[in-house]
Amino acid sequence: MEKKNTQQEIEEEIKSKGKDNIIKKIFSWILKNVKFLLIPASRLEELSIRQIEYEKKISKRKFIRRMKSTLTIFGMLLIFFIVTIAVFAPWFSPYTFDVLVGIAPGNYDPPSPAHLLGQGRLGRDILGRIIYGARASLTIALPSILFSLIFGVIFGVIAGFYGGWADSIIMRIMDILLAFPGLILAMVFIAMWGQHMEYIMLAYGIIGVPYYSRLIRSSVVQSRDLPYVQAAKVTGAGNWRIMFKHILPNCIQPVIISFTFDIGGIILSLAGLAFLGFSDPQLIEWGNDIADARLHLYEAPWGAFWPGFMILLAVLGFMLLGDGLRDALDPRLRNIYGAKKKKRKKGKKEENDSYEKK
Amino acid sequence: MTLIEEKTEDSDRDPEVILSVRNLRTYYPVLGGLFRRKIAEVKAVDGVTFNLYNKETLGLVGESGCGKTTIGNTILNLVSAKSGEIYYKGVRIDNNFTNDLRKKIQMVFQDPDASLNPRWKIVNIIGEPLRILERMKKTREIRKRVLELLETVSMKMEHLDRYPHEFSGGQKQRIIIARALACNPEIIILDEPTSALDVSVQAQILNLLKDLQRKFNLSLLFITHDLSVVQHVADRIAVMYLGKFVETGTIEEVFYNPTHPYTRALLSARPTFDPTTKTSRVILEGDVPSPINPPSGCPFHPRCPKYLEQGKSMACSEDVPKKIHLGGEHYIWCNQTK
Repeated sequence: MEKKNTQQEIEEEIKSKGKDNIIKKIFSWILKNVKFLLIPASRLEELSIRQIEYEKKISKRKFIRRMKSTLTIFGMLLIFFIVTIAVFAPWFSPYTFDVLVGIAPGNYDPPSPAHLLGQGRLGRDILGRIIYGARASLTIALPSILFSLIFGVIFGVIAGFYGGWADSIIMRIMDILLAFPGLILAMVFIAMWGQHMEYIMLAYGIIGVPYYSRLIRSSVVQSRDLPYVQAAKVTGAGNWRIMFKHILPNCIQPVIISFTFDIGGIILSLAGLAFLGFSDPQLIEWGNDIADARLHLYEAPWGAFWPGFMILLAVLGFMLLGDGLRDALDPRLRNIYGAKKKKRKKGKKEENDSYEKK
Repeated sequence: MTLIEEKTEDSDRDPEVILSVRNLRTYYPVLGGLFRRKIAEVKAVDGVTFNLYNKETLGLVGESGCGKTTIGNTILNLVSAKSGEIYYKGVRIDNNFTNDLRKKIQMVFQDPDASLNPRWKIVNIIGEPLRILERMKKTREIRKRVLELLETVSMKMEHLDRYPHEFSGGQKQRIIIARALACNPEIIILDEPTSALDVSVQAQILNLLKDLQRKFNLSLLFITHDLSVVQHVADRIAVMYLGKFVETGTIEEVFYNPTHPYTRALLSARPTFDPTTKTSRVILEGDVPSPINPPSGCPFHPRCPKYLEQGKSMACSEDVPKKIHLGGEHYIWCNQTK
């Protein structure tokens, strides 16, 4: 920040600025930054304290950066792993699908070189079955939860925001839905339309709607009259914009949490359905395997353990990701990078302010 | 039962009048009983008439719950009026509040912490009126304009991408003012803009508002309960009690010659700089009556020192107060003619 000595110099500078072309700028930028490119961390030394703080803050403001906690990454890796084995199941599995649903010698045999994790009912290979099982479990659990999430959020926000008659009608319908047990509804659907995956998904999806809409409605009712909603009205925002851009992001936290919890619940309730005999024998699915192996827990614990372990991994992955997502979505949470910086922040802030005044 | 029968000014013609409120009544329903029926009404604003002139600051003073904020909210159509008319430049706006009007009339809210969406960045918060009202689409354009606005409230480029929790109260209030300025408004309704701030920041914000008023030719409706703030910024002042005006006039007229008993009591309760001066403090008895069931006649009469001292006259407790002209812009609403 040198002071310009004379008026002439300033004028010359203004003139020369106009002549600068882009190539010259790029060239000078590279020259200036060669050092920083080659020597790591030298850039930070060059910057003033305030700029360092600013750059750190910028990086924290970016959504992706905020996801960068160890547990969240672990959760993402778990989900990535499960999705990968689901997608590339024929490549990973030691046996083909037909063998895995067929009958082979060796009912509940212990692990052997041919069957690394042992054999299950009717001599089926457990490793192959848990790899293929990822497909069914994910394709049933995720769509049905997404169905209940989307509709639950929409109905809940509308009910909470408009209040009055809309609220009463929507919430009474939700109360009626709450009265159905999920398993029974799924059985009714199967009895009506046969054993189609879509109807089982739909049944569980419908059962989830009232939980989500109740969760979100209560938060919407709280934040409906907050001043920032009034301010949005003053700036001319329509009702839909206020509902889904202003209020919803501030109410989404409990929904994300219960979303991650419910994935495990849905996978397990499929097992319950299989237990009652409403299951496709051609479908390889974790819960089903657990239900089968339950009778042989003492002789063949591997039969129930490995599918259960996969459910654990899936649920853990989604829960960790959900936790990280919730933290990252809330810009007020600054403790992602540890508590130490939070304490020092006050001192740094004063420095910033004093610099700004210059 | 209207409070003021005659129209004092022909406001529809006067080019100086930018906003005109006629006989405004805003009642809030009180719900209760079985099926949440309406069992009573809170008469928050009960027959208020005033004009806001071009480039002036009108201070609206009164104690808590007397309906100041409701007037602001009613002008912006956040709550609907029960009766009465609101004119903007001679066009009636209370039944037809369009987005073009939202450009012209903006509001600054009381609580700077709560009136910024905590999940949004500053550039989006200030850019929202530009997006909705000015229909700007390009992000670069919006950022450029938002930067201009931030600079007018003396903030910097690096504040664009921050979240509201990263700012102090004064800075938040500046951001809110910048948002109000986004669409070049002509009227800004300031709903206690300084009450959540400490005194030094209050002064900064008030001076900023004065500068902005000069720069952009704004008319301000300044709602506050802080008399020293009003004295600092306002040109004219209106004192409210229980949803009604009791005294209006310029700052000099009201502050140096308070005539209505309520205004006198209010002004005598101000803290003074010199503790040795003995002020004849008027102490009112009792509490503010409920606006659900306000006293008949003059709403102030059960607490009015004049009424209590000079024999309880029937006029005060039965007739609506008369509007008395005291010269200049100075009016009081009182039945005590002496």
